[in-house]
Amino acid sequence: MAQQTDTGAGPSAQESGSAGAQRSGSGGTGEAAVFSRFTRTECGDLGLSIDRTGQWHYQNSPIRRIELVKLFASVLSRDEDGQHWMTTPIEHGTVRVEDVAFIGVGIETEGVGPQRVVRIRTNLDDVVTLGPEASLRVVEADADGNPALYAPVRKGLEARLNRAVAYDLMVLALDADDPRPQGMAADTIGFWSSGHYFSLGTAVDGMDGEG
Amino acid sequence: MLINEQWLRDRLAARQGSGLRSDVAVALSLGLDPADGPRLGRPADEGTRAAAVLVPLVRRDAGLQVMLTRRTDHLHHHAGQISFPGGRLEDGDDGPVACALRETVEETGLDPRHVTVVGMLDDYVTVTGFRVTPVVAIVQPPFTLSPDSFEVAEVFEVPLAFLLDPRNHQKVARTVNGRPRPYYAIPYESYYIWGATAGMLMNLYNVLRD
Repeated sequence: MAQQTDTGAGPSAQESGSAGAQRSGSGGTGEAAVFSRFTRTECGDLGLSIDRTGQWHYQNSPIRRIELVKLFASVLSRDEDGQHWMTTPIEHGTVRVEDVAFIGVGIETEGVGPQRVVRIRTNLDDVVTLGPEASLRVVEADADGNPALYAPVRKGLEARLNRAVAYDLMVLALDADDPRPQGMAADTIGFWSSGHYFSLGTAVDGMDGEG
Repeated sequence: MLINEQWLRDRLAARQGSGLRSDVAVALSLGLDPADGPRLGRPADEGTRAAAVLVPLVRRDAGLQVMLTRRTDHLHHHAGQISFPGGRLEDGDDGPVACALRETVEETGLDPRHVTVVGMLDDYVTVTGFRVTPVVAIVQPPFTLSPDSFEVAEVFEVPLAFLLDPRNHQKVARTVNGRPRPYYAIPYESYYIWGATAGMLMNLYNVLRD
Protein backbone atom coordinates (compact mmCIF):
# COMPACT_ATOMS: atom_id res chain seq x y z
CA MET A 1 0.00 0.00 0.00
CA ALA A 2 2.56 2.27 1.16
CA GLN A 3 4.70 1.12 -1.69
CA GLN A 4 1.84 1.62 -4.14
CA THR A 5 1.12 4.97 -2.73
CA ASP A 6 4.78 5.75 -2.98
CA THR A 7 5.01 4.49 -6.54
CA GLY A 8 1.75 6.15 -7.34
CA ALA A 9 2.76 9.40 -5.83
CA GLY A 10 6.31 9.15 -7.01
CA PRO A 11 5.85 9.74 -10.73
CA SER A 12 3.13 12.23 -10.10
CA ALA A 13 5.27 14.12 -7.60
CA GLN A 14 8.18 13.89 -9.98
CA GLU A 15 6.04 15.01 -12.83
CA SER A 16 4.57 17.91 -11.02
CA GLY A 17 7.97 18.68 -9.60
CA SER A 18 9.60 18.75 -13.00
CA ALA A 19 6.68 20.56 -14.54
CA GLY A 20 6.80 22.99 -11.68
CA ALA A 21 10.48 23.48 -12.18
CA GLN A 22 9.97 24.04 -15.88
CA ARG A 23 7.16 26.43 -15.27
CA SER A 24 9.01 28.35 -12.65
CA GLY A 25 12.09 28.35 -14.91
CA SER A 26 10.39 29.69 -18.00
CA GLY A 27 8.02 31.77 -15.94
CA GLY A 28 10.96 33.27 -14.11
CA THR A 29 12.68 34.33 -17.32
CA GLY A 30 9.43 35.50 -18.79
CA GLU A 31 8.56 37.42 -15.71
CA ALA A 32 12.00 39.05 -15.61
CA ALA A 33 11.67 40.13 -19.24
CA VAL A 34 8.11 41.35 -18.74
CA PHE A 35 9.12 43.04 -15.51
CA SER A 36 11.99 44.95 -17.11
CA ARG A 37 10.00 45.80 -20.21
CA PHE A 38 7.17 47.23 -18.22
CA THR A 39 9.16 49.01 -15.57
CA ARG A 40 11.84 50.48 -17.85
CA THR A 41 9.87 53.07 -19.72
CA GLU A 42 10.68 53.44 -23.41
CA CYS A 43 10.93 57.18 -23.65
CA GLY A 44 11.94 57.76 -27.25
CA ASP A 45 13.73 61.08 -27.59
CA LEU A 46 14.64 62.20 -24.09
CA GLY A 47 15.01 65.83 -25.08
CA LEU A 48 18.73 65.60 -24.35
CA SER A 49 21.36 66.55 -26.86
CA ILE A 50 25.13 66.97 -27.07
CA ASP A 51 26.43 69.62 -29.44
CA ARG A 52 29.71 69.67 -31.37
CA THR A 53 31.55 71.31 -28.50
CA GLY A 54 30.52 68.50 -26.11
CA GLN A 55 28.01 70.73 -24.32
CA TRP A 56 24.90 68.89 -23.09
CA HIS A 57 21.47 70.47 -23.53
CA TYR A 58 18.02 69.64 -22.19
CA GLN A 59 15.20 71.02 -24.36
CA ASN A 60 17.84 73.25 -26.01
CA SER A 61 18.96 74.80 -22.71
CA PRO A 62 22.58 74.11 -21.75
CA ILE A 63 23.04 71.93 -18.68
CA ARG A 64 25.52 73.82 -16.53
CA ARG A 65 26.01 71.34 -13.70
CA ILE A 66 29.00 69.26 -14.68
CA GLU A 67 28.20 66.60 -12.03
CA LEU A 68 24.80 66.04 -13.64
CA VAL A 69 26.35 65.78 -17.10
CA LYS A 70 28.88 63.23 -15.83
CA LEU A 71 26.04 61.22 -14.31
CA PHE A 72 24.14 61.23 -17.61
CA ALA A 73 27.28 60.30 -19.53
CA SER A 74 27.85 57.32 -17.23
CA VAL A 75 24.64 55.67 -18.52
CA LEU A 76 25.17 56.65 -22.17
CA SER A 77 26.00 54.19 -24.92
CA ARG A 78 26.08 54.11 -28.70
CA ASP A 79 24.75 51.22 -30.80
CA GLU A 80 26.11 49.91 -34.09
CA ASP A 81 23.88 52.22 -36.06
CA GLY A 82 25.43 55.22 -34.35
CA GLN A 83 22.35 55.95 -32.24
CA HIS A 84 23.07 57.20 -28.72
CA TRP A 85 21.03 55.73 -25.86
CA MET A 86 20.62 56.60 -22.24
CA THR A 87 19.76 53.53 -20.17
CA THR A 88 18.81 53.63 -16.51
CA PRO A 89 16.94 50.97 -14.52
CA ILE A 90 13.72 52.80 -15.23
CA GLU A 91 14.23 54.65 -18.51
CA HIS A 92 15.55 53.92 -21.97
CA GLY A 93 15.64 56.61 -24.59
CA THR A 94 17.63 58.30 -27.30
CA VAL A 95 19.97 61.26 -27.00
CA ARG A 96 20.67 63.46 -30.01
CA VAL A 97 24.40 63.81 -30.59
CA GLU A 98 25.66 66.24 -33.18
CA ASP A 99 29.06 64.58 -33.59
CA VAL A 100 30.29 62.44 -30.69
CA ALA A 101 29.62 62.34 -26.96
CA PHE A 102 33.01 63.51 -25.70
CA ILE A 103 35.78 65.95 -26.51
CA GLY A 104 39.40 65.01 -25.87
CA VAL A 105 40.86 68.00 -24.03
CA GLY A 106 44.21 66.83 -22.69
CA ILE A 107 46.97 64.26 -23.00
CA GLU A 108 49.48 62.84 -20.59
CA THR A 109 52.36 60.57 -21.42
CA GLU A 110 54.51 58.16 -19.47
CA GLY A 111 57.70 56.45 -20.61
CA VAL A 112 59.49 56.76 -23.94
CA GLY A 113 59.63 55.06 -27.34
CA PRO A 114 57.77 51.75 -27.70
CA GLN A 115 57.31 51.67 -23.91
CA ARG A 116 55.37 54.92 -23.89
CA VAL A 117 51.77 55.10 -22.72
CA VAL A 118 49.62 57.99 -23.93
CA ARG A 119 46.40 58.82 -22.12
CA ILE A 120 43.72 61.16 -23.37
CA ARG A 121 41.48 63.01 -20.95
CA THR A 122 37.98 63.96 -22.00
CA ASN A 123 35.94 67.02 -21.14
CA LEU A 124 34.15 64.88 -18.53
CA ASP A 125 37.41 63.58 -17.02
CA ASP A 126 37.28 60.11 -18.56
CA VAL A 127 40.73 58.78 -19.34
CA VAL A 128 41.43 56.73 -22.47
CA THR A 129 44.71 54.84 -22.76
CA LEU A 130 45.73 54.60 -26.41
CA GLY A 131 46.80 51.13 -27.49
CA PRO A 132 45.92 48.14 -29.69
CA GLU A 133 42.39 48.07 -28.27
CA ALA A 134 41.95 51.82 -28.42
CA SER A 135 43.23 53.23 -31.67
CA LEU A 136 42.65 56.61 -33.19
CA ARG A 137 40.09 57.04 -35.94
CA VAL A 138 41.22 59.58 -38.51
CA VAL A 139 38.61 61.51 -40.45
CA GLU A 140 39.91 63.52 -43.38
CA ALA A 141 36.95 65.89 -43.38
CA ASP A 142 34.28 66.11 -40.70
CA ALA A 143 30.92 67.88 -41.04
CA ASP A 144 32.74 71.22 -41.17
CA GLY A 145 35.28 69.98 -43.69
CA ASN A 146 38.08 69.87 -41.13
CA PRO A 147 40.25 66.85 -40.40
CA ALA A 148 39.58 65.22 -37.05
CA LEU A 149 40.90 62.51 -34.75
CA TYR A 150 38.59 60.32 -32.66
CA ALA A 151 39.42 58.05 -29.73
CA PRO A 152 37.13 55.33 -28.33
CA VAL A 153 35.95 55.97 -24.77
CA ARG A 154 33.52 53.17 -23.78
CA LYS A 155 30.30 51.45 -24.78
CA GLY A 156 30.66 52.53 -28.40
CA LEU A 157 31.17 56.16 -27.38
CA GLU A 158 33.91 58.27 -28.91
CA ALA A 159 35.79 61.46 -28.12
CA ARG A 160 36.79 63.93 -30.81
CA LEU A 161 40.21 65.31 -29.94
CA ASN A 162 40.07 69.08 -29.86
CA ARG A 163 42.45 70.97 -32.10
CA ALA A 164 44.88 71.58 -29.25
CA VAL A 165 45.13 67.88 -28.36
CA ALA A 166 45.52 66.90 -32.01
CA TYR A 167 48.50 69.25 -32.24
CA ASP A 168 49.81 68.04 -28.88
CA LEU A 169 49.99 64.55 -30.40
CA MET A 170 51.74 65.97 -33.46
CA VAL A 171 54.28 67.75 -31.30
CA LEU A 172 54.73 64.57 -29.26
CA ALA A 173 55.41 62.60 -32.43
CA LEU A 174 57.89 65.19 -33.70
CA ASP A 175 59.69 65.70 -30.40
CA ALA A 176 59.93 62.01 -29.60
CA ASP A 177 61.09 60.91 -33.06
CA ASP A 178 60.22 57.29 -32.14
CA PRO A 179 61.65 54.32 -34.01
CA ARG A 180 59.14 53.23 -36.65
CA PRO A 181 57.86 49.69 -36.91
CA GLN A 182 59.54 47.56 -39.54
CA GLY A 183 58.30 48.19 -43.03
CA MET A 184 56.97 51.66 -42.29
CA ALA A 185 58.24 54.56 -44.38
CA ALA A 186 61.06 56.51 -42.73
CA ASP A 187 59.21 59.81 -43.07
CA THR A 188 56.16 58.55 -41.19
CA ILE A 189 55.20 60.86 -38.34
CA GLY A 190 53.88 58.90 -35.40
CA PHE A 191 54.35 57.69 -31.86
CA TRP A 192 54.05 54.56 -29.71
CA SER A 193 51.50 53.95 -27.00
CA SER A 194 50.95 50.68 -25.13
CA GLY A 195 53.00 48.76 -27.71
CA HIS A 196 50.99 50.08 -30.66
CA TYR A 197 52.37 52.52 -33.24
CA PHE A 198 50.09 55.41 -34.17
CA SER A 199 50.78 57.02 -37.52
CA LEU A 200 49.63 60.62 -37.88
CA GLY A 201 50.82 61.11 -41.43
CA THR A 202 47.45 61.51 -43.09
CA ALA A 203 45.93 63.44 -40.22
CA VAL A 204 48.68 66.01 -40.38
CA ASP A 205 48.57 66.45 -44.13
CA GLY A 206 44.98 67.53 -43.72
CA MET A 207 45.72 69.85 -40.85
CA ASP A 208 48.12 72.01 -42.80
CA GLY A 209 47.12 75.59 -43.13
CA GLU A 210 44.22 75.46 -40.73
CA GLY A 211 44.11 78.82 -38.99
CA MET B 1 31.71 92.81 -26.38
CA LEU B 2 30.66 93.20 -22.79
CA ILE B 3 33.16 91.52 -20.52
CA ASN B 4 32.60 91.42 -16.81
CA GLU B 5 34.64 89.63 -14.24
CA GLN B 6 32.29 86.69 -13.70
CA TRP B 7 31.81 86.12 -17.42
CA LEU B 8 35.58 86.11 -17.83
CA ARG B 9 36.02 83.59 -15.01
CA ASP B 10 33.37 81.29 -16.46
CA ARG B 11 34.72 81.50 -19.98
CA LEU B 12 38.33 80.86 -18.96
CA ALA B 13 37.19 77.79 -17.03
CA ALA B 14 34.90 76.53 -19.79
CA ARG B 15 37.46 76.87 -22.57
CA GLN B 16 40.37 75.47 -20.61
CA GLY B 17 42.28 72.98 -22.73
CA SER B 18 41.30 74.46 -26.07
CA GLY B 19 44.42 76.53 -26.73
CA LEU B 20 47.43 75.61 -28.81
CA ARG B 21 50.08 74.80 -26.25
CA SER B 22 53.41 75.53 -27.85
CA ASP B 23 55.26 77.51 -30.51
CA VAL B 24 55.63 74.22 -32.38
CA ALA B 25 51.89 73.52 -32.30
CA VAL B 26 51.24 77.04 -33.58
CA ALA B 27 53.81 76.56 -36.35
CA LEU B 28 52.15 73.25 -37.34
CA SER B 29 48.74 74.91 -37.34
CA LEU B 30 50.16 77.56 -39.66
CA GLY B 31 51.35 74.95 -42.11
CA LEU B 32 54.82 73.97 -40.94
CA ASP B 33 55.62 70.77 -42.80
CA PRO B 34 56.79 68.15 -40.30
CA ALA B 35 59.29 67.07 -42.93
CA ASP B 36 61.03 70.44 -42.53
CA GLY B 37 62.62 69.33 -39.31
CA PRO B 38 60.75 68.41 -36.21
CA ARG B 39 62.43 70.74 -33.79
CA LEU B 40 62.45 74.50 -33.86
CA GLY B 41 65.55 74.93 -31.75
CA ARG B 42 65.06 73.20 -28.45
CA PRO B 43 66.51 69.73 -27.89
CA ALA B 44 63.58 67.42 -27.20
CA ASP B 45 65.02 65.70 -24.15
CA GLU B 46 66.04 68.86 -22.36
CA GLY B 47 62.70 69.32 -20.65
CA THR B 48 61.01 72.62 -19.92
CA ARG B 49 61.52 75.31 -17.30
CA ALA B 50 58.45 76.59 -15.49
CA ALA B 51 57.54 80.24 -15.94
CA ALA B 52 54.48 82.44 -15.55
CA VAL B 53 53.25 85.69 -17.04
CA LEU B 54 50.47 88.07 -16.11
CA VAL B 55 47.89 88.89 -18.78
CA PRO B 56 46.74 92.19 -17.25
CA LEU B 57 43.39 93.48 -18.53
CA VAL B 58 43.24 97.11 -17.46
CA ARG B 59 39.75 98.50 -16.91
CA ARG B 60 39.72 101.83 -18.76
CA ASP B 61 36.79 104.04 -19.76
CA ALA B 62 37.46 103.17 -23.40
CA GLY B 63 37.25 99.45 -22.60
CA LEU B 64 39.70 96.80 -21.44
CA GLN B 65 43.34 97.33 -22.37
CA VAL B 66 46.09 94.70 -22.32
CA MET B 67 49.22 95.80 -20.51
CA LEU B 68 52.46 94.74 -22.20
CA THR B 69 56.14 95.49 -21.75
CA ARG B 70 58.91 96.18 -24.20
CA ARG B 71 62.09 94.49 -23.08
CA THR B 72 65.35 96.41 -22.96
CA ASP B 73 67.71 95.70 -25.81
CA HIS B 74 70.53 94.29 -23.72
CA LEU B 75 68.57 91.39 -22.24
CA HIS B 76 69.93 88.03 -23.26
CA HIS B 77 66.48 86.49 -23.70
CA HIS B 78 63.83 88.42 -25.62
CA ALA B 79 65.89 91.58 -26.24
CA GLY B 80 63.67 94.40 -27.49
CA GLN B 81 60.67 92.11 -27.67
CA ILE B 82 57.12 92.76 -26.60
CA SER B 83 56.00 90.50 -23.80
CA PHE B 84 53.69 90.17 -20.83
CA PRO B 85 55.18 90.92 -17.43
CA GLY B 86 56.50 87.64 -16.04
CA GLY B 87 59.41 85.29 -15.72
CA ARG B 88 60.78 82.06 -14.42
CA LEU B 89 59.31 80.32 -11.36
CA GLU B 90 61.61 80.73 -8.39
CA ASP B 91 61.94 78.46 -5.39
CA GLY B 92 60.08 80.86 -3.13
CA ASP B 93 57.09 81.13 -5.51
CA ASP B 94 53.90 79.43 -4.38
CA GLY B 95 52.76 78.49 -7.88
CA PRO B 96 52.30 80.39 -11.14
CA VAL B 97 49.96 83.07 -9.75
CA ALA B 98 52.48 84.08 -7.11
CA CYS B 99 55.25 84.04 -9.70
CA ALA B 100 53.32 86.18 -12.19
CA LEU B 101 52.40 88.73 -9.50
CA ARG B 102 55.94 88.89 -8.14
CA GLU B 103 57.44 89.37 -11.59
CA THR B 104 54.83 92.02 -12.41
CA VAL B 105 55.70 93.97 -9.27
CA GLU B 106 59.42 93.67 -10.01
CA GLU B 107 59.17 94.66 -13.67
CA THR B 108 56.42 97.29 -13.69
CA GLY B 109 55.93 98.36 -10.08
CA LEU B 110 52.20 97.62 -10.30
CA ASP B 111 50.85 97.12 -6.78
CA PRO B 112 49.05 93.72 -6.51
CA ARG B 113 46.13 95.37 -4.68
CA HIS B 114 44.96 96.62 -8.08
CA VAL B 115 45.08 93.09 -9.52
CA THR B 116 42.24 90.53 -9.43
CA VAL B 117 43.18 87.15 -10.88
CA VAL B 118 40.30 85.61 -12.87
CA GLY B 119 41.85 82.46 -14.33
CA MET B 120 44.51 80.98 -16.56
CA LEU B 121 45.09 80.39 -20.23
CA ASP B 122 46.52 77.02 -21.24
CA ASP B 123 50.22 76.55 -20.54
CA TYR B 124 52.37 77.50 -23.51
CA VAL B 125 55.75 75.96 -24.29
CA THR B 126 58.14 78.32 -26.08
CA VAL B 127 60.89 77.32 -28.50
CA THR B 128 63.32 78.54 -25.87
CA GLY B 129 62.10 75.78 -23.58
CA PHE B 130 59.92 77.65 -21.09
CA ARG B 131 56.56 76.25 -20.02
CA VAL B 132 54.63 79.47 -19.43
CA THR B 133 51.43 79.67 -17.40
CA PRO B 134 49.51 82.80 -18.45
CA VAL B 135 47.61 84.20 -15.45
CA VAL B 136 44.71 86.41 -16.53
CA ALA B 137 43.80 89.33 -14.27
CA ILE B 138 41.66 92.44 -14.18
CA VAL B 139 43.62 95.53 -13.21
CA GLN B 140 41.73 98.41 -11.62
CA PRO B 141 43.06 101.97 -12.16
CA PRO B 142 44.15 104.39 -10.94
CA PHE B 143 47.62 103.03 -10.28
CA THR B 144 51.17 104.22 -10.71
CA LEU B 145 53.98 102.27 -12.30
CA SER B 146 57.72 102.32 -11.75
CA PRO B 147 59.20 100.10 -14.44
CA ASP B 148 62.48 98.36 -13.73
CA SER B 149 64.76 100.16 -16.17
CA PHE B 150 67.16 97.22 -16.39
CA GLU B 151 64.62 94.75 -17.75
CA VAL B 152 61.81 96.91 -19.10
CA ALA B 153 62.20 99.72 -21.59
CA GLU B 154 58.51 100.62 -21.59
CA VAL B 155 55.12 99.57 -20.24
CA PHE B 156 52.22 100.26 -22.60
CA GLU B 157 48.61 99.29 -23.23
CA VAL B 158 46.86 97.93 -26.31
CA PRO B 159 43.05 97.94 -26.60
CA LEU B 160 41.78 94.38 -26.07
CA ALA B 161 39.35 94.99 -28.95
CA PHE B 162 42.32 95.55 -31.28
CA LEU B 163 44.02 92.34 -30.20
CA LEU B 164 40.79 90.35 -30.59
CA ASP B 165 40.06 91.63 -34.09
CA PRO B 166 40.96 88.81 -36.53
CA ARG B 167 41.89 91.44 -39.15
CA ASN B 168 44.89 92.28 -36.97
CA HIS B 169 46.09 88.67 -36.72
CA GLN B 170 48.88 88.09 -39.21
CA LYS B 171 50.23 84.72 -40.16
CA VAL B 172 53.91 85.20 -40.88
CA ALA B 173 56.01 82.70 -42.81
CA ARG B 174 59.63 83.30 -41.91
CA THR B 175 62.75 81.23 -42.29
CA VAL B 176 64.97 80.86 -39.26
CA ASN B 177 68.34 79.13 -39.64
CA GLY B 178 67.27 77.90 -43.06
CA ARG B 179 64.10 76.31 -41.75
CA PRO B 180 60.54 77.54 -42.10
CA ARG B 181 59.20 78.97 -38.88
CA PRO B 182 55.63 80.24 -39.23
CA TYR B 183 54.21 82.30 -36.36
CA TYR B 184 51.50 84.81 -35.50
CA ALA B 185 52.16 88.52 -35.39
CA ILE B 186 49.88 91.32 -34.19
CA PRO B 187 51.55 94.65 -35.04
CA TYR B 188 50.17 97.60 -33.10
CA GLU B 189 51.41 101.10 -33.80
CA SER B 190 55.20 100.93 -33.42
CA TYR B 191 55.02 97.66 -31.50
CA TYR B 192 55.58 94.30 -33.16
CA ILE B 193 53.89 91.61 -31.07
CA TRP B 194 54.83 88.15 -32.31
CA GLY B 195 55.90 84.62 -31.39
CA ALA B 196 54.96 83.25 -27.99
CA THR B 197 53.24 86.46 -26.83
CA ALA B 198 51.13 86.52 -30.00
CA GLY B 199 50.47 82.78 -29.57
CA MET B 200 49.16 83.32 -26.04
CA LEU B 201 47.06 86.27 -27.27
CA MET B 202 45.58 83.97 -29.93
CA ASN B 203 44.64 81.56 -27.14
CA LEU B 204 43.02 84.49 -25.31
CA TYR B 205 41.17 85.34 -28.52
CA ASN B 206 39.87 81.76 -28.78
CA VAL B 207 38.71 81.87 -25.17
CA LEU B 208 36.84 85.16 -25.56
CA ARG B 209 35.34 84.85 -29.02
CA ASP B 210 31.85 83.48 -29.69
